[in-house]
Amino acid sequence: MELLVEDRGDARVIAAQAPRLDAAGVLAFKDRFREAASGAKERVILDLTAVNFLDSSGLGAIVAVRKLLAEGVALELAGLTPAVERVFRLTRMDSVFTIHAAVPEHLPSVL
Amino acid sequence: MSVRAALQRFAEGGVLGSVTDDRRDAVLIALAEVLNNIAEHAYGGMAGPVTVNLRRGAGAVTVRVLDKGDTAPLFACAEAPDPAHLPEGGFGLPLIRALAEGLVQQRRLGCNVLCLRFSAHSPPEPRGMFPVRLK
Repeated sequence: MELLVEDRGDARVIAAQAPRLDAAGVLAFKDRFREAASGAKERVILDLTAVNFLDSSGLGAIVAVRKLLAEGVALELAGLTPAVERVFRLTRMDSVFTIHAAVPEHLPSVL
Repeated sequence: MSVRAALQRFAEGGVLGSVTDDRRDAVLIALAEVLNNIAEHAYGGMAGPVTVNLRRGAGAVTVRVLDKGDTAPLFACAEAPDPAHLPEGGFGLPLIRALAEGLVQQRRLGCNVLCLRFSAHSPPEPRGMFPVRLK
């Protein structure tokens, strides 16, 4: 799972670059996310637009990487495709993340 | 063949090609969880034989999965984990239960046999309970 990283305003946007986040890919995802998120300050937005399949291992990995973030840094999700959104909804894990339809156009900087 | 390769083959196959995206996703998500469970629990991470049969019947897609592992999942006891506790696992069986309209589990001739039934037309979500028959 390749990740594209971009700082926009106070947010670090991390975009997944593979179509599947599944049991076979979760270890690599967690490792790369840890690197990609290091030094993030306020918000990390994980852009899942490219992901069209997520299994329970992938869901668990997203919860796990949320816990890797420094104190006070929030993990938000964006661009959930229908099959991915469904896994979040059926497990009710959509209730514990801020979920955007797409990465917000305007990401303000507090400074 | 890996779980991922098997799922990709089914995704492109004739049975799931004949239903809507919504139905195809429901079958593929449930089947992913079934196969991951077999790989992880029934075979403990080792390779083992699995037979998957996908069939499009009148109004339904049925999936039958056989494995020769020692353990089979206890669907009747699978409560969904509480999201507030930020669980990192335990989603698999609740997902299968939420997605399949019917589920029958059997132990036959040293094999675990799991049959799942999915309506070929999208039912409204969320659904209530469905009968689990254990033999």
